[in-house]
Amino acid sequence: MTTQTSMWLSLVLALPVLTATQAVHAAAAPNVDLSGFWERRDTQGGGSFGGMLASLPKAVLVPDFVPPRAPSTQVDPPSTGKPNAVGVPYIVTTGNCSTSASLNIPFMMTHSTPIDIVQGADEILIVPEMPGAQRIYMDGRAHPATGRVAPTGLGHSVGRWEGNELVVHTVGMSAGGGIPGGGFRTPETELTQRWRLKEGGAQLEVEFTWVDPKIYAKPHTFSLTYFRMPQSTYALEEWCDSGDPLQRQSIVPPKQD
Amino acid sequence: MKFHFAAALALGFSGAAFAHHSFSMFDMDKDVTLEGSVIEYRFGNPHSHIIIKVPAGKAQAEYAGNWDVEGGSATIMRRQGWSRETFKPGDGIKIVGHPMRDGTKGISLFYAIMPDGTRLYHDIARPKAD
Repeated sequence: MTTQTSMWLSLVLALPVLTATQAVHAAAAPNVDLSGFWERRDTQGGGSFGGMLASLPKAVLVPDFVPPRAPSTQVDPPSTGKPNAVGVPYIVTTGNCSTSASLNIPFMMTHSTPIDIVQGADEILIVPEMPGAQRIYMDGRAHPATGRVAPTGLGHSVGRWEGNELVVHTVGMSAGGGIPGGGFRTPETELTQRWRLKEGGAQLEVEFTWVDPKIYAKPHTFSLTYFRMPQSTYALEEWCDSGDPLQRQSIVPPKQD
Repeated sequence: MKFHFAAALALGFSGAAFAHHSFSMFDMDKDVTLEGSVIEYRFGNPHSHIIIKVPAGKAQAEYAGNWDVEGGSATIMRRQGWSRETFKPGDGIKIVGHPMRDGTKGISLFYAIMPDGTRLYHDIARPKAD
């Protein structure tokens, strides 16, 4: 076989592979740009932060479900049933004073601060305004075996495009609650998020569906809407000093005159 | 153990509002207006605090005294227009917040009403529609 024939043969053999690769990248890169900062807004008048989520559908839990207990970052002194004395703080944390201690899904998606989406062909980052980020692998990989993943608040996420809709599947989340509508999660819980632009790209709707037959009698689905922020928006730094006693406490009954 | 759905809801919602700590010690459905002067202003993380003095007066006799007003993180509040210079000791201040359930003079900030009538909110939550 001549060198020229060999080269042509190599190209012909490689064509199906190249075509398949191109197809994957074409599917991974629709004409949808989610990049930039997005924020939630209280368009209905929730009355409080928690009130903003009160109108979402309620989770239907299986009978006799026992909520998982997440490792607490909060050390609540035993309640005496009476107001604390002057100078005695309410709520003292273990030192994980930053919101990063509670960085998880869906907390980062319900927070007051915006999310910054960094969109690439093989990976999409969802960066909240706190330490950490959710990585969504878009390269076609599968989730690792459950036994090989240490559960975290963000879990392990893979994504794909279905038309102009980004579909994200997450597993391996650490045990906890805080899911709007009264839901919970464990490392076995599966979350599917469907991200879609609306209003000409000014708004982003994210539909959350939580599935776990040990927790939910039926899939728990709700949607949140985010509003695109100006291009000039930049991230603010979230920080705190866990060694500062003032930062580890909440209300301290002040001294009275 | 029989699980109560109401408990699940309570846990869920408190978790949703959860940032640095639970908000369950505040009556988040109740709004109280306090007007007085700033004793101390700490703008920072994970929560900002304003210690205020509410003078005794007929209009707010039941609230007279010194209060610890808890806001959000500096990051959250900067997005709403707050800064390290928003208040200083001695300034007049008027706030609306959610008081503690046990009667302690502590309150979760909802918003401050500035001298020109504008509101500086704690976070993205807004008042319920009338």
